[in-house]
Amino acid sequence: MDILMNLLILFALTLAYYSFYAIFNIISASIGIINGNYDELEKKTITDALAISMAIFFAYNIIQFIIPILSLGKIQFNLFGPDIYLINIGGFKLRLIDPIVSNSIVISIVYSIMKYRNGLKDKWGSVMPILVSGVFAFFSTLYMV
Amino acid sequence: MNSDLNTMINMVYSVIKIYGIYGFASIFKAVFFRKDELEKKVVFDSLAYSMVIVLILAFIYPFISLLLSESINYVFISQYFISDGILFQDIFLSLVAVVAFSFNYLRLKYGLINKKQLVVPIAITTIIVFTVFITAIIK
Repeated sequence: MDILMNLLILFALTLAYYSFYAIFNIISASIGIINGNYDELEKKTITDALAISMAIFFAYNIIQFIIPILSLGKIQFNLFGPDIYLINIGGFKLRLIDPIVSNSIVISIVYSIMKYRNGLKDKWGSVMPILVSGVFAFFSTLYMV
Repeated sequence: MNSDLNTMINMVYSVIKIYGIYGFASIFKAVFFRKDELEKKVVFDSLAYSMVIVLILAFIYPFISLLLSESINYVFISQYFISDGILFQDIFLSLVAVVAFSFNYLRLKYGLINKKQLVVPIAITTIIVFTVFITAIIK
Protein backbone atom coordinates (compact mmCIF):
# COMPACT_ATOMS: atom_id res chain seq x y z
CA MET A 1 0.00 0.00 0.00
CA ASP A 2 2.88 2.34 0.81
CA ILE A 3 4.54 1.61 -2.54
CA LEU A 4 1.21 2.17 -4.29
CA MET A 5 0.80 5.56 -2.66
CA ASN A 6 4.35 6.55 -3.62
CA LEU A 7 3.68 5.55 -7.21
CA LEU A 8 0.45 7.57 -7.19
CA ILE A 9 2.32 10.60 -5.87
CA LEU A 10 4.96 10.13 -8.57
CA PHE A 11 2.25 9.91 -11.25
CA ALA A 12 0.44 12.99 -9.97
CA LEU A 13 3.67 15.01 -9.76
CA THR A 14 4.58 13.96 -13.30
CA LEU A 15 1.22 15.24 -14.52
CA ALA A 16 1.69 18.43 -12.50
CA TYR A 17 5.06 19.16 -14.09
CA TYR A 18 3.71 18.19 -17.50
CA SER A 19 0.83 20.66 -17.10
CA PHE A 20 3.23 23.62 -17.42
CA TYR A 21 4.29 22.34 -20.84
CA ALA A 22 0.68 21.48 -21.74
CA ILE A 23 -0.74 24.92 -21.01
CA PHE A 24 2.13 26.59 -22.89
CA ASN A 25 1.57 24.19 -25.80
CA ILE A 26 -2.13 25.00 -26.07
CA ILE A 27 -1.58 28.76 -25.77
CA SER A 28 1.04 28.68 -28.53
CA ALA A 29 -1.23 26.56 -30.75
CA SER A 30 -4.16 28.95 -30.33
CA ILE A 31 -1.93 31.98 -31.01
CA GLY A 32 -0.69 30.24 -34.15
CA ILE A 33 -4.26 29.58 -35.30
CA ILE A 34 -5.29 33.20 -34.66
CA ASN A 35 -2.27 34.54 -36.56
CA GLY A 36 -2.78 32.07 -39.39
CA ASN A 37 0.69 30.52 -39.21
CA TYR A 38 -0.47 26.97 -39.78
CA ASP A 39 -1.02 25.09 -43.02
CA GLU A 40 -3.83 22.61 -43.70
CA LEU A 41 -2.15 19.55 -42.18
CA GLU A 42 -1.31 21.34 -38.94
CA LYS A 43 -4.86 22.71 -38.66
CA LYS A 44 -6.29 19.24 -39.27
CA THR A 45 -3.96 17.83 -36.60
CA ILE A 46 -5.23 20.35 -34.06
CA THR A 47 -8.92 19.72 -34.80
CA ASP A 48 -8.34 15.96 -34.69
CA ALA A 49 -6.61 16.30 -31.33
CA LEU A 50 -9.48 18.40 -29.94
CA ALA A 51 -12.12 15.96 -31.18
CA ILE A 52 -10.32 12.86 -29.89
CA SER A 53 -9.73 14.44 -26.50
CA MET A 54 -13.43 15.34 -26.33
CA ALA A 55 -14.24 11.67 -27.05
CA ILE A 56 -11.85 10.63 -24.25
CA PHE A 57 -13.61 13.13 -22.01
CA PHE A 58 -16.95 11.47 -22.83
CA ALA A 59 -15.66 7.97 -22.08
CA TYR A 60 -14.18 9.24 -18.82
CA ASN A 61 -17.49 10.78 -17.81
CA ILE A 62 -19.41 7.57 -18.41
CA ILE A 63 -16.86 5.71 -16.24
CA GLN A 64 -17.13 8.41 -13.59
CA PHE A 65 -20.87 7.99 -13.57
CA ILE A 66 -20.83 4.19 -13.32
CA ILE A 67 -17.96 3.35 -10.93
CA PRO A 68 -19.33 5.09 -7.78
CA ILE A 69 -22.57 3.15 -8.24
CA LEU A 70 -20.79 -0.20 -8.57
CA SER A 71 -18.34 0.35 -5.71
CA LEU A 72 -21.03 1.89 -3.43
CA GLY A 73 -19.21 5.19 -3.11
CA LYS A 74 -15.86 3.81 -1.98
CA ILE A 75 -13.96 4.77 -5.11
CA GLN A 76 -14.70 8.19 -6.58
CA PHE A 77 -13.10 10.03 -9.45
CA ASN A 78 -13.09 13.75 -9.97
CA LEU A 79 -10.43 14.72 -12.47
CA PHE A 80 -12.19 17.58 -14.23
CA GLY A 81 -14.45 19.03 -11.56
CA PRO A 82 -14.36 21.89 -9.03
CA ASP A 83 -13.29 19.90 -5.96
CA ILE A 84 -10.39 18.55 -7.82
CA TYR A 85 -8.58 15.58 -6.56
CA LEU A 86 -6.88 13.26 -8.97
CA ILE A 87 -8.03 10.07 -7.32
CA ASN A 88 -9.67 9.12 -4.04
CA ILE A 89 -9.22 5.65 -2.57
CA GLY A 90 -10.72 5.32 0.88
CA GLY A 91 -10.16 8.95 1.85
CA PHE A 92 -6.70 9.37 0.35
CA LYS A 93 -6.85 12.32 -2.01
CA LEU A 94 -4.41 13.83 -4.46
CA ARG A 95 -5.32 17.31 -5.56
CA LEU A 96 -4.88 19.11 -8.86
CA ILE A 97 -5.51 22.80 -9.35
CA ASP A 98 -8.17 23.57 -11.89
CA PRO A 99 -10.35 22.00 -14.61
CA ILE A 100 -8.41 23.83 -17.29
CA VAL A 101 -5.16 22.18 -16.16
CA SER A 102 -6.50 18.66 -16.42
CA ASN A 103 -8.26 19.39 -19.71
CA SER A 104 -5.11 20.83 -21.23
CA ILE A 105 -3.03 17.84 -20.06
CA VAL A 106 -5.34 15.47 -21.97
CA ILE A 107 -5.42 17.69 -25.07
CA SER A 108 -1.66 18.13 -25.09
CA ILE A 109 -0.93 14.40 -24.82
CA VAL A 110 -3.33 13.60 -27.67
CA TYR A 111 -1.94 16.51 -29.71
CA SER A 112 1.63 15.28 -29.43
CA ILE A 113 0.55 11.74 -30.42
CA MET A 114 -1.31 13.10 -33.46
CA LYS A 115 1.70 15.24 -34.41
CA TYR A 116 3.91 12.15 -34.29
CA ARG A 117 1.46 10.16 -36.40
CA ASN A 118 1.18 12.88 -39.03
CA GLY A 119 4.95 13.21 -39.24
CA LEU A 120 5.20 16.74 -37.88
CA LYS A 121 7.39 15.67 -34.99
CA ASP A 122 9.95 12.92 -34.40
CA LYS A 123 9.68 10.30 -31.70
CA TRP A 124 12.18 11.89 -29.32
CA GLY A 125 10.48 15.30 -29.48
CA SER A 126 7.07 13.90 -28.60
CA VAL A 127 8.29 11.72 -25.71
CA MET A 128 10.75 14.20 -24.19
CA PRO A 129 8.36 16.55 -22.28
CA ILE A 130 6.82 13.62 -20.37
CA LEU A 131 10.26 12.12 -19.71
CA VAL A 132 11.61 15.41 -18.38
CA SER A 133 8.60 15.95 -16.12
CA GLY A 134 8.93 12.35 -14.91
CA VAL A 135 12.57 12.95 -13.97
CA PHE A 136 11.62 16.17 -12.16
CA ALA A 137 8.86 14.33 -10.30
CA PHE A 138 11.26 11.54 -9.31
CA PHE A 139 13.76 13.98 -7.79
CA SER A 140 10.94 15.87 -6.07
CA THR A 141 9.78 12.67 -4.36
CA LEU A 142 13.38 12.06 -3.20
CA TYR A 143 13.38 15.47 -1.54
CA MET A 144 9.93 14.84 -0.01
CA VAL A 145 11.21 11.68 1.72
CA MET B 1 -31.02 36.97 -2.92
CA ASN B 2 -29.03 33.81 -2.46
CA SER B 3 -31.99 31.48 -3.01
CA ASP B 4 -33.05 33.50 -6.07
CA LEU B 5 -29.60 33.06 -7.57
CA ASN B 6 -29.69 29.35 -6.84
CA THR B 7 -33.09 28.99 -8.50
CA MET B 8 -31.84 30.81 -11.58
CA ILE B 9 -28.77 28.56 -11.79
CA ASN B 10 -30.91 25.46 -11.33
CA MET B 11 -33.19 26.62 -14.14
CA VAL B 12 -30.26 27.08 -16.52
CA TYR B 13 -28.85 23.66 -15.56
CA SER B 14 -32.20 21.99 -16.17
CA VAL B 15 -32.58 23.61 -19.59
CA ILE B 16 -29.08 22.45 -20.53
CA LYS B 17 -29.72 18.90 -19.34
CA ILE B 18 -33.09 18.44 -20.98
CA TYR B 19 -31.61 19.79 -24.21
CA GLY B 20 -28.85 17.20 -23.70
CA ILE B 21 -31.35 14.34 -23.85
CA TYR B 22 -32.63 15.64 -27.20
CA GLY B 23 -29.06 16.14 -28.41
CA PHE B 24 -28.03 12.61 -27.46
CA ALA B 25 -30.89 11.26 -29.55
CA SER B 26 -30.04 13.43 -32.55
CA ILE B 27 -26.32 12.57 -32.49
CA PHE B 28 -27.12 8.86 -32.04
CA LYS B 29 -29.43 9.03 -35.04
CA ALA B 30 -26.83 10.80 -37.16
CA VAL B 31 -24.05 8.33 -36.31
CA PHE B 32 -25.90 5.03 -36.53
CA PHE B 33 -29.04 5.45 -38.64
CA ARG B 34 -28.09 7.84 -41.45
CA LYS B 35 -25.81 7.30 -44.40
CA ASP B 36 -24.91 10.95 -44.89
CA GLU B 37 -21.12 11.40 -45.03
CA LEU B 38 -21.32 15.15 -44.43
CA GLU B 39 -23.28 14.64 -41.21
CA LYS B 40 -20.67 12.19 -39.92
CA LYS B 41 -17.95 14.72 -40.67
CA VAL B 42 -20.01 17.34 -38.86
CA VAL B 43 -20.17 15.09 -35.76
CA PHE B 44 -16.36 14.94 -35.66
CA ASP B 45 -16.05 18.70 -36.17
CA SER B 46 -18.60 19.44 -33.48
CA LEU B 47 -16.53 17.41 -31.00
CA ALA B 48 -13.59 19.75 -31.67
CA TYR B 49 -15.77 22.87 -31.39
CA SER B 50 -17.28 21.71 -28.10
CA MET B 51 -13.83 20.99 -26.66
CA VAL B 52 -12.94 24.63 -27.35
CA ILE B 53 -16.16 25.76 -25.63
CA VAL B 54 -15.38 23.54 -22.63
CA LEU B 55 -11.88 25.02 -22.39
CA ILE B 56 -13.20 28.58 -22.49
CA LEU B 57 -15.80 27.83 -19.80
CA ALA B 58 -13.17 26.15 -17.64
CA PHE B 59 -11.00 29.25 -18.05
CA ILE B 60 -13.84 31.62 -17.06
CA TYR B 61 -15.14 29.56 -14.12
CA PRO B 62 -12.57 30.49 -11.41
CA PHE B 63 -12.99 34.21 -12.12
CA ILE B 64 -16.79 33.93 -11.81
CA SER B 65 -16.46 32.08 -8.51
CA LEU B 66 -14.01 34.74 -7.27
CA LEU B 67 -16.38 37.56 -8.28
CA LEU B 68 -19.44 35.99 -6.68
CA SER B 69 -17.37 34.96 -3.63
CA GLU B 70 -19.42 31.86 -3.04
CA SER B 71 -19.11 28.33 -4.31
CA ILE B 72 -21.15 27.92 -7.45
CA ASN B 73 -20.88 24.63 -9.24
CA TYR B 74 -18.66 24.37 -12.25
CA VAL B 75 -20.95 24.89 -15.21
CA PHE B 76 -20.92 21.27 -16.24
CA ILE B 77 -21.29 19.64 -12.86
CA SER B 78 -24.19 19.10 -10.58
CA GLN B 79 -23.24 16.95 -7.65
CA TYR B 80 -25.91 15.31 -5.57
CA PHE B 81 -25.81 12.70 -2.86
CA ILE B 82 -27.98 9.64 -2.91
CA SER B 83 -28.25 7.58 0.30
CA ASP B 84 -25.10 6.43 2.15
CA GLY B 85 -22.93 9.18 0.74
CA ILE B 86 -22.76 7.93 -2.83
CA LEU B 87 -21.81 10.99 -4.84
CA PHE B 88 -23.09 11.37 -8.37
CA GLN B 89 -21.35 13.78 -10.65
CA ASP B 90 -23.62 14.29 -13.57
CA ILE B 91 -21.52 16.00 -16.23
CA PHE B 92 -22.47 13.67 -19.03
CA LEU B 93 -25.76 15.22 -20.14
CA SER B 94 -24.44 18.77 -20.07
CA LEU B 95 -21.42 17.76 -22.15
CA VAL B 96 -23.77 16.08 -24.63
CA ALA B 97 -25.79 19.30 -24.68
CA VAL B 98 -22.73 21.34 -25.64
CA VAL B 99 -21.79 18.87 -28.37
CA ALA B 100 -25.37 18.81 -29.63
CA PHE B 101 -25.58 22.59 -29.79
CA SER B 102 -22.38 22.86 -31.82
CA PHE B 103 -23.55 19.91 -33.97
CA ASN B 104 -26.82 21.63 -34.80
CA TYR B 105 -25.06 24.96 -35.36
CA LEU B 106 -22.65 23.38 -37.84
CA ARG B 107 -25.53 21.58 -39.58
CA LEU B 108 -27.23 24.96 -39.95
CA LYS B 109 -24.01 26.39 -41.35
CA TYR B 110 -23.67 23.62 -43.95
CA GLY B 111 -27.37 23.89 -44.85
CA LEU B 112 -28.48 20.48 -43.58
CA ILE B 113 -31.26 21.97 -41.45
CA ASN B 114 -33.00 25.34 -41.37
CA LYS B 115 -33.06 27.90 -38.59
CA LYS B 116 -36.42 26.78 -37.21
CA GLN B 117 -35.10 23.29 -36.47
CA LEU B 118 -32.24 24.77 -34.44
CA VAL B 119 -34.39 27.11 -32.35
CA VAL B 120 -37.53 25.04 -31.70
CA PRO B 121 -36.00 22.34 -29.37
CA ILE B 122 -34.31 25.02 -27.24
CA ALA B 123 -37.57 26.98 -27.01
CA ILE B 124 -39.55 23.87 -26.06
CA THR B 125 -37.08 22.92 -23.28
CA THR B 126 -37.04 26.45 -21.86
CA ILE B 127 -40.84 26.58 -21.86
CA ILE B 128 -41.08 23.21 -20.07
CA VAL B 129 -38.48 24.14 -17.44
CA PHE B 130 -39.99 27.58 -16.81
CA THR B 131 -43.49 26.21 -16.33
CA VAL B 132 -42.23 23.52 -13.93
CA PHE B 133 -40.18 25.98 -11.88
CA ILE B 134 -42.91 28.65 -11.79
CA THR B 135 -45.54 26.18 -10.63
CA ALA B 136 -43.13 24.98 -7.92
CA ILE B 137 -42.47 28.58 -6.80
CA ILE B 138 -46.19 29.50 -6.73
CA LYS B 139 -47.03 26.46 -4.64
